[in-house]
Amino acid sequence: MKIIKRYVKQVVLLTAFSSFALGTSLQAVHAAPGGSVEPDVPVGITILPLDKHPVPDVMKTQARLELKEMSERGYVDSTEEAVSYLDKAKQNKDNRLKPMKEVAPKLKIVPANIASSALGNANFLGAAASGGHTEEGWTGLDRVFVVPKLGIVGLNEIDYIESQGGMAFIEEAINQEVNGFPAILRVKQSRSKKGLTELTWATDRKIYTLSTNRALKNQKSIDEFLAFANSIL
Amino acid sequence: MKNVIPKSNRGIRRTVLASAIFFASLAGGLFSASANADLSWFSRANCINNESITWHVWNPEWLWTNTYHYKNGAYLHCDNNVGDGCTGNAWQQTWRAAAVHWNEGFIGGFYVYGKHWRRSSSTGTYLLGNTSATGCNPTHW
Repeated sequence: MKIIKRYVKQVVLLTAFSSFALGTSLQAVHAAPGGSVEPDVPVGITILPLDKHPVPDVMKTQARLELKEMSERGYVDSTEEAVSYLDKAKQNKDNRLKPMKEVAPKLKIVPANIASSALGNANFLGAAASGGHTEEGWTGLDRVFVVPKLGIVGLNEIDYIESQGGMAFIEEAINQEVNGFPAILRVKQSRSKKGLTELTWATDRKIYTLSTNRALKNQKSIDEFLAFANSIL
Repeated sequence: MKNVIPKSNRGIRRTVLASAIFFASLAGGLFSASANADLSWFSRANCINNESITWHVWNPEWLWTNTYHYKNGAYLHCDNNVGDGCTGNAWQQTWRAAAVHWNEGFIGGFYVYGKHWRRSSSTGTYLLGNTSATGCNPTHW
């Protein structure tokens, strides 16, 4: 709760900025015509209690279960598929991942600088453009690395300003901070004991997710993972 | 309009048209298969189909896509990835949430505007973004 209270003002400012920069013009022009049904997710970054998220009750029930599992044992049960995407990235790297010099010209965004971060010295497997397509390029980027002791590490960044999008965080799930921004650490494990750890945070321009194909269950490994995130600028 | 195609060639024309539609639909699949690996979203217009698509080939997600179609500047209609004309809940756990009007773009003159959402029981609800198109964007695939 301390983390949430400390950053309410910051998030309010981010939301106000995003709404001013994007929402007022684009939403007015492209307001859902003909009474079309849309999920009510605002542009920019917001923090909402779970009950206020515009999703079916089944997702809220699942979210409550995950919160309980994280609180009681430090990880949540997950499907094999949900914990395997980094392994799939590595397995298909020849087809799906490219050198940054090939990917960079396809991007509209400026990638996060990782040269001086802990990822700067990691074994870089490759990158892929992601996010939304615009005439000027893609609004997201994925980079995949192999890091000693951590395993396969993925860094996803989406420029929500360029995407004309946003995210509503589940307030109850916020349990970390990265460079002063509220963050959600989620540790997942499948029935076969395969693991995945994801850390999601948002700045005044981007939503980041740092992931590793390990279930990080002790504080030392979590602290090291957080240090990776804090070194990304 | 007077049909200027000789009767003897009309069967050929129908075959060519059907083939064009078939291969264009097939091409859509091939473009998709070689597209971005991680969570991506885009719209295409006048590319035989008019469509907006959200997809994540490595990890099925809970996704929702609406596609709004305008013809010569006038709003025509909306559809979503469950094909109910944007009248209800379209959340789907899938690797590809495609809102498509098949073959609608063949005559040209369309503007397609897409809106893309994701939900996660771990982190929250996302307005991934808005996309627009007046063409196929084939160079990006």
